[in-house]
Amino acid sequence: MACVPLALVLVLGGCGAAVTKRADPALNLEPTGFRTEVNHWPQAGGNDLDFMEVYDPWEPMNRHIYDFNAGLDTYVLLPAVGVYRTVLPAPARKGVSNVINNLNELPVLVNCVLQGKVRKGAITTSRFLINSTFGLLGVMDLASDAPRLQRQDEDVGQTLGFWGVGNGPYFVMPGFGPSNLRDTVGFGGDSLLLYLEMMQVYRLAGVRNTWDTAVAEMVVRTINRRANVPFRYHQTGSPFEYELVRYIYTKKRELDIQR
Amino acid sequence: MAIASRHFEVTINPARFMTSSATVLFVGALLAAVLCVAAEGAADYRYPYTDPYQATVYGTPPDQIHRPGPAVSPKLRAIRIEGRKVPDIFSYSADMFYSTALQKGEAPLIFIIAGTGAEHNAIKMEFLTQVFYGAGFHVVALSSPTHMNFVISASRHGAPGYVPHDVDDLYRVMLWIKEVVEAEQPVSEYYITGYSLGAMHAAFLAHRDSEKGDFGFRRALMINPPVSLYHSVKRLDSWLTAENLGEVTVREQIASLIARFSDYYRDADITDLDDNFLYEMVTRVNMDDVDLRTLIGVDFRLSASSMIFATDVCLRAGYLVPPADYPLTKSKPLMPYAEAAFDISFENYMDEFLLPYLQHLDPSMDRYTLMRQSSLYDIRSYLMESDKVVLIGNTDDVILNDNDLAFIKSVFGERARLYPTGGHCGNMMYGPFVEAMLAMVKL
Repeated sequence: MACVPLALVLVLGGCGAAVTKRADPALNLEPTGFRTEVNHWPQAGGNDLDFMEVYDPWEPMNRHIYDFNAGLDTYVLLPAVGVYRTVLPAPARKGVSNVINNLNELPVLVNCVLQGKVRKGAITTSRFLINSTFGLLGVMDLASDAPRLQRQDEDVGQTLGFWGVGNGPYFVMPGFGPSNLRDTVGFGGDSLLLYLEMMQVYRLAGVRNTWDTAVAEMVVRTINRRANVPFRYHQTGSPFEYELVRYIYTKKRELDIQR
Repeated sequence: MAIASRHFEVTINPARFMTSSATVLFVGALLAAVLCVAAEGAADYRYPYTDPYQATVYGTPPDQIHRPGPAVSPKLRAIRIEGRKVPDIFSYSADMFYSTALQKGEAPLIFIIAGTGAEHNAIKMEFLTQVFYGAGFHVVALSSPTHMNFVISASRHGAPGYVPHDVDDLYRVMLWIKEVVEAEQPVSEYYITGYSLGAMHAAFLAHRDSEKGDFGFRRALMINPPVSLYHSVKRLDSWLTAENLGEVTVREQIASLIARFSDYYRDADITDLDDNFLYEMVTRVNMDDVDLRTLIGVDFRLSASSMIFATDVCLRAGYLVPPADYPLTKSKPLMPYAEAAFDISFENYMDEFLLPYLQHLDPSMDRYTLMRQSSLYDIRSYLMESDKVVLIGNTDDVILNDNDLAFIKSVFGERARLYPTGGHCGNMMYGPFVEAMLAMVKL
């Protein structure tokens, strides 16, 4: 099962940029011997951008993982998304995305409860009930048509943050991207909740070969997740992309915990 | 400017439109008729933002964006210069990326040059690609020579901002691309366009081609060009100084903007942040002209600092990165350089880096020549004589002053179309503006 998409990636993969090669010794960027007389070397102390600083003691390792993730994205995930988009038409992809979002409502609900967020919990419950029934097991996201029933976002990382657990060191999760120590632990918690939920779903659905099904589900979840995130590595046009991503991630999580 | 959000999703509310029309009819048929006539007279141009800073930052409301017809997915392509010594930390940017959208069969081809610091697939570039593809052109979209990818992968001298060098680089790359495209699809004739700094490049490229004759451009369309690169960047630089901010520091001003956006996001009951959300956030957060100028200034400064860092590392000029810090490895924290770079104005870069570097290459170079050769004054007589070059822009463009406008009017005359509002590229996606743009190219 799971091998089919992988094989397709290998066949159709590498559909990145078509490269034309040119040689011109004048363009080799040879050293010019030029040095500026004035310099703006980094100095310790107050600065206009110091709000962008994030506690990142593991930075050298994180930067390597970031680089690895960028490679994984370029050579595996994005080609897989390309295949996915070729094979499945847009309405079908929307359906897949809706089903996954619907299954994810339960961990969200658990986290609403753990934080005592009644309104968010009620919205999430209503959404799950509506979409699981009238939405044909989540294929259609009917609930989102109602302005007051927009999808809520809570996870174990936010729950820990809500109860006062700090970020801890910034951490780039291999394969998954920006995080921090608290959110990585939270990620483990959410994965466990999903695992428990999916085992029940498999049992209800009478799935016998749970291992293969779980692997297939993982692949679909991964591709769906990537297909729905517009971010592309090295597309910010900034050599400081790692710093920008780190800041935006940290700021967004801080606000999400307050939401 | 990269601030205006991406919003191809167009939401029209026909119900509300019908209701309001019906109300007018109820008030009286005569009145309605009068209103209709009046509306038709002004229907040409009703771009909503009359404040040039709002226009520049907000762009065009989603429901007033020109719809270019069936969408095309541009093809990503790259040029690799073999033997080029690309610094290790920029290995991901070793190829020069560009994108194409080619028709099936013979068609005219248009090159589009991006604005300052923008890449070939920036929002405005993608929009122009769709528009010209929809109008029947093969489209080739190129990053600005001031974008780090261009600097690292394709620039001969590695230090952008001196227009003659940047135009040399673009011209060379365009000749290569011409070969690539012509091997795939027949090209009937060549056109060139660009917005902002890319518009200035487009004019210089048309001038260069008039001497060399490789493309024989049929028309060059300049969209919101600066007249003098250095006059315009000085204005942008000034918005991060006390001249704009008064007593408040840049740091405090940015913090205050971030706090306002954060509050909006925190109170929004939405998880999926799409383009419409971002557009609403930017337009609904309360910002006065000082705030808007700061945003434009910060956006520009961030592009400039990316460019300056890339340039300094490529040339190892010791401007931002001390020689002792080399070799820069991929694990090296770059935040200290980002912070130092953010404090450098474009004028600093010109005086402390670019000019001395040009003098290193050619001792006869001076500041006046550098500035003049990076302005339209340098090709004034060509621009006056050549009917090929046309210009579209706005009289309230925030990067132009009165002298610049007078220059445009006297040099281009009938070949310039100027709208009263729109700021700097704010109306570039607005329906009537786009139609005028296409009409001018096809003239």
